[in-house]
Amino acid sequence: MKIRVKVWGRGEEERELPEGASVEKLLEGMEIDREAVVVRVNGRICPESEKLSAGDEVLIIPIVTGG
Amino acid sequence: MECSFCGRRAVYERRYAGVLLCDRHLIKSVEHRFRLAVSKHELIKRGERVTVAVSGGKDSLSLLYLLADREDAWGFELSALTVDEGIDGYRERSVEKTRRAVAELGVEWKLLSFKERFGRTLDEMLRGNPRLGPCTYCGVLRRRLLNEGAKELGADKLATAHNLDDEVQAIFLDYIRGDLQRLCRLGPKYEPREGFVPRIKPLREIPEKEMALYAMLRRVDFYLGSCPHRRGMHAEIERFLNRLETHHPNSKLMILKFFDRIRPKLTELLPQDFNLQSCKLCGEPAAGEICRSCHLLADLGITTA
Repeated sequence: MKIRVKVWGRGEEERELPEGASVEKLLEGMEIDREAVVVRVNGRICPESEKLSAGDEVLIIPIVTGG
Repeated sequence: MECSFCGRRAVYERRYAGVLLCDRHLIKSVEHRFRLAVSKHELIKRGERVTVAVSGGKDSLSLLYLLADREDAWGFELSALTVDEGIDGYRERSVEKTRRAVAELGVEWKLLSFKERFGRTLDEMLRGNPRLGPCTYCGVLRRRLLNEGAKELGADKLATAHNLDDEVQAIFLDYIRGDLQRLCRLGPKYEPREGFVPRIKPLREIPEKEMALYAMLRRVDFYLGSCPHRRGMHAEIERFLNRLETHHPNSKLMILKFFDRIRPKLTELLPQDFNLQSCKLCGEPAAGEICRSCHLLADLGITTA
């Protein structure tokens, strides 16, 4: 399935994932630690164990900022 | 996915406790932990003046709102303090967020800047390629202004928004540097020392991720930018700890809890005859004749006498 992924402050891309893959799977594939981000799927904040569906829009917000 | 407590849509999986939380329960849980930390460690007493250090980021603005919520109930007087280090494209935006929040809450606010107090912004200081890393100058000089500002506001306590991640990173950093003195000061509150406004850390046991969720769900208007100078060992430790927590949930809290158990014993290793004196240049507390910040300023060719 195809999903749209945007990392806050960076670009947007389309990614291919197996049917029923979770947010966690997506983050692993992008080598992003779940502890360092908050994820919105179609605008809603959700747990990383949430399953994604084709066409979902995922926004990854890095929370580690310093200072 | 549903909240383990009420069945509403979950926003967060607290893996170390094996529960899913909805927006309301996440907010409730963070507020409960904040209040628990204040009462367990007796961080704030009735009648005190408490100044909160606010950068404009998620943690410090959340702490400002958390404290403002309890000001009447706990009977203390709240004020806020911001240090503008002068980091181009970064700090001015977070200062603006702070300005709006304190105006909305009607909280007394003091803004101090490196430029005004030291004659140069941090960016200007770094242009001369000084001997030490940017975080050393920034950290030492910012702590000095926070102490000065808190005293000027008449504060009995200075509340900072260090979260669990900040604390565990600091434990690792001080351990690697072999800085026993700083390591021993990493508690929920600093022991009172002459010349220093005692600092308190009510968010110390709350993970950074939960603070970020709290700020977002409570619709705190915070600044989410990265400091352009952030790099080096600190950032590496941060990545390492996040990786560890991802693979082994609860690691950060266990590190902190164990550290808290051994801290009293570690403190016994410190020299007992250690006395602070007034810095000959600025009058702030110092371990020797000249305080650390005046040493660093001298490095940069700035005199404060």
